[in-house]
Amino acid sequence: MSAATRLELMLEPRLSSTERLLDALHGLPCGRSCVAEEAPGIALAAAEALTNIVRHGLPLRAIALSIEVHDDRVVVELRDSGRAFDMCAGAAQLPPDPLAEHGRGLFLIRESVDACDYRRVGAENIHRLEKRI
Amino acid sequence: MTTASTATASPFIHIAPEGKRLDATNAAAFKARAVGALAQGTRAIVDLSQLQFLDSSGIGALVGIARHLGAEGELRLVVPNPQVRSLLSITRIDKILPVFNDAQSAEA
Repeated sequence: MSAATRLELMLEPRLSSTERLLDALHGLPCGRSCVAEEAPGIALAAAEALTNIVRHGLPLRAIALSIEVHDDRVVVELRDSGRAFDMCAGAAQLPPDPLAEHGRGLFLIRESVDACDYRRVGAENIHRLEKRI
Repeated sequence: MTTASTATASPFIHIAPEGKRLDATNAAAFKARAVGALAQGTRAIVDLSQLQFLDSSGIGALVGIARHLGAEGELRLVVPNPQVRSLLSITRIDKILPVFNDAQSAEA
């Protein structure tokens, strides 16, 4: 199925880029509302993934974001030049200790989407997140 | 930015993040300001009524505030947004921090 809507952005490797990502998801029409409203899990997963890339991946260049809105699903792909890091590994995880201040990001990525795929191509990490609408 | 206030008759200090998002971009600053506002008390209500987006960093800030208050303190959350409530449930935060629909209920 071809993408009904596709958006591509280059994001600076800094935390404040999550604002651009979330604004993009709020601006994309989807069903009766926008992507962020119709499929909130994809917004959370994408923001968590971007935060992890910036904090732990140490990307040297801008992070490539693409968002595809289909009739039945939303797909977000993040490409970065940081060190190899699979955020989709370990799908069956228990929730972190509720008293912990850190360590929920990967759990929330896996909980919030229907599919999380990772591949390393050359010096690039590619994370693909999919959420059914 | 963070707002904090104490109603005359209330034993709680009320704290609210500014804006609609509490995430990696502002969670650390929110926690620092909240901890500063709590210097005079051990019971607090964090009002997340305006919040439309919460991520793991924001959750970490809430847990950090609760840990700052310690076993003698008390932190209650006001969370009317169903998506944000769901997130607190998935992460089991609602097992350690009481969650209310509005500030009036949280005060009771």
